[in-house]
Amino acid sequence: MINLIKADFYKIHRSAIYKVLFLILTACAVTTTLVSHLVSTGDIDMGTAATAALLSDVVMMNLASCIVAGQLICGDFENKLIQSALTGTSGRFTLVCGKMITYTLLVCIMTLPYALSSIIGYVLDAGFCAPYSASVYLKILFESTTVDFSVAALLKYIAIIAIMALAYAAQTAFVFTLAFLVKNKSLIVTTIGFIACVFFGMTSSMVAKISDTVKDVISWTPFSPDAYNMGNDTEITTMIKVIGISLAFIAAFTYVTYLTFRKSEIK
Amino acid sequence: MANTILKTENISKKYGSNQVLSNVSITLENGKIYGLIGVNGAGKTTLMRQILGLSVPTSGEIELFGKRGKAISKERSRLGCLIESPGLVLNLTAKQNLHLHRVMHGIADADVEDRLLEMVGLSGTGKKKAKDFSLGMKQRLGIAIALLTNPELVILDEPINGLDPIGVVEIRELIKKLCDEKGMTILISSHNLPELYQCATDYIIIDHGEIKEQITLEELEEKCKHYLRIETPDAAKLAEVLESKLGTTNFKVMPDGSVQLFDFTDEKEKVTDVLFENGVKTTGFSLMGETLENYFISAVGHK
Repeated sequence: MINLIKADFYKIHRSAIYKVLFLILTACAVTTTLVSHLVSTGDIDMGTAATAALLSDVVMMNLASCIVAGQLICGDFENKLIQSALTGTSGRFTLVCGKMITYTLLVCIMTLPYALSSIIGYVLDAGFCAPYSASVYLKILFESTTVDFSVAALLKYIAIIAIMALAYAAQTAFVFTLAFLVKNKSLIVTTIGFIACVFFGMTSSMVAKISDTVKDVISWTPFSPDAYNMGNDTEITTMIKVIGISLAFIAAFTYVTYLTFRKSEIK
Repeated sequence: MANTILKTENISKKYGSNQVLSNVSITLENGKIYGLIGVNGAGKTTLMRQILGLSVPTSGEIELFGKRGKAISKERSRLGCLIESPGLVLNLTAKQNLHLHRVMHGIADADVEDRLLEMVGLSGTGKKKAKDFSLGMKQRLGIAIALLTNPELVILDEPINGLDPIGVVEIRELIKKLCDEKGMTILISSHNLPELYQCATDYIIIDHGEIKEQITLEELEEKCKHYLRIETPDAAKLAEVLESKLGTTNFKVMPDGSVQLFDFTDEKEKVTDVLFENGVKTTGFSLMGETLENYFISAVGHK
């Protein structure tokens, strides 16, 4: 399995699309951080800032994850690398597990621009606000004005950033399964996956208001407010809960993917 | 010593109502080159895909290197394959593609990349990316990838497609070399029967998803052998003339008294002249034997 992951990263390292995607995410992260700063200084109003909401991690990470799934899985079906991977590894379960690990790592890597910009912003303490809710990274920036800099606080923020990256991978894990179902049509995976991600993200907070039971159910998913409301005051138990839920979601979708892929035809 | 490395037992594959393979049972022994012959849609690629685990049979069982069931997944790492078109990343060079597959298969020996490129005649491609390769170059690279793990069984589906005549000869020689020197077993499908005839040691004829025949080269040659059938009332005299005047012993006297002469098939006039000059009476004289194509057509029962 490790060889499969290594080969994936060799291919990714040589591919322009991942580099371009990373650059776009970096530009979005910088813009979002800048908007957060300008709103706090009063140079732009909240209305103007709202137009940049599409560049925040909440939207962009969903899009990036869907593109990653499309390229990583569908790309391999398209250029028949899956055939070679199957004959070279110990079967389909190993293949699915290896791909899921690569996918999770890639999604985590793609969060780096937002993570780094929020850490740098926190350290600089240049004055930020959180113009959009549901973004852990903006919350960290915002808290730079209220939480004094300390190594302990910095380490906690780094841990939160890492957990949020894992939560993003878990939120979009169903796109991974979708990619194995659709096989070589990356555009379909990206489009359907992104629409579904945005839909789940929007409706999860709305349906949570229907009843306490629904709210409880959602709190046991990666779409839980526990995940995107993490901050300096978040308790360790909540952070562990988010990690556990995220890993469980990733494991569950890995198994579902295996079940769908176990006997499927590979062209 | 010949060992069975692959055995399929009554493999069937159905897509909806379309029966693509029906009770296919074949056995492959190590160190041989098997030619899989069949028309388009006969089930060649489907059979190869079942062996490689790219498709799951509707019924039947596969035994690979003595293993069955789930255990054969691991044994598949001992296979190399090129099915239809090679698995290439088009924005990588030939060497980078080989590197990618080498990493994927966990092969430590980095020199194997250059050796294989040299072997398939792609060592001079340098920084040229696979997307700029001709079809033949892609096929060669696909063969190099198939050989990367030094597999014991190589499955090649139409490997000479798109190759120029020189390329065809090179790949044929390469296949023979792999079998002779490295003892690899090769299962190769091709529409090019004369080409297959020049390298295969065994033949599997498939049609409409059914195995029609599995025969050795010797058996095929025997069946396709051309000879002059000479009918005469005095077979002994005929045999004596053939030996003394034409200097050949490559003939067989059949129980019905006729003689099968395997030499001089292109010099019928010379034979008739010698027989006439030496007073051998003939009551029948004809060229017999099948061509490879005719034999194949008769085996699959097509008109």
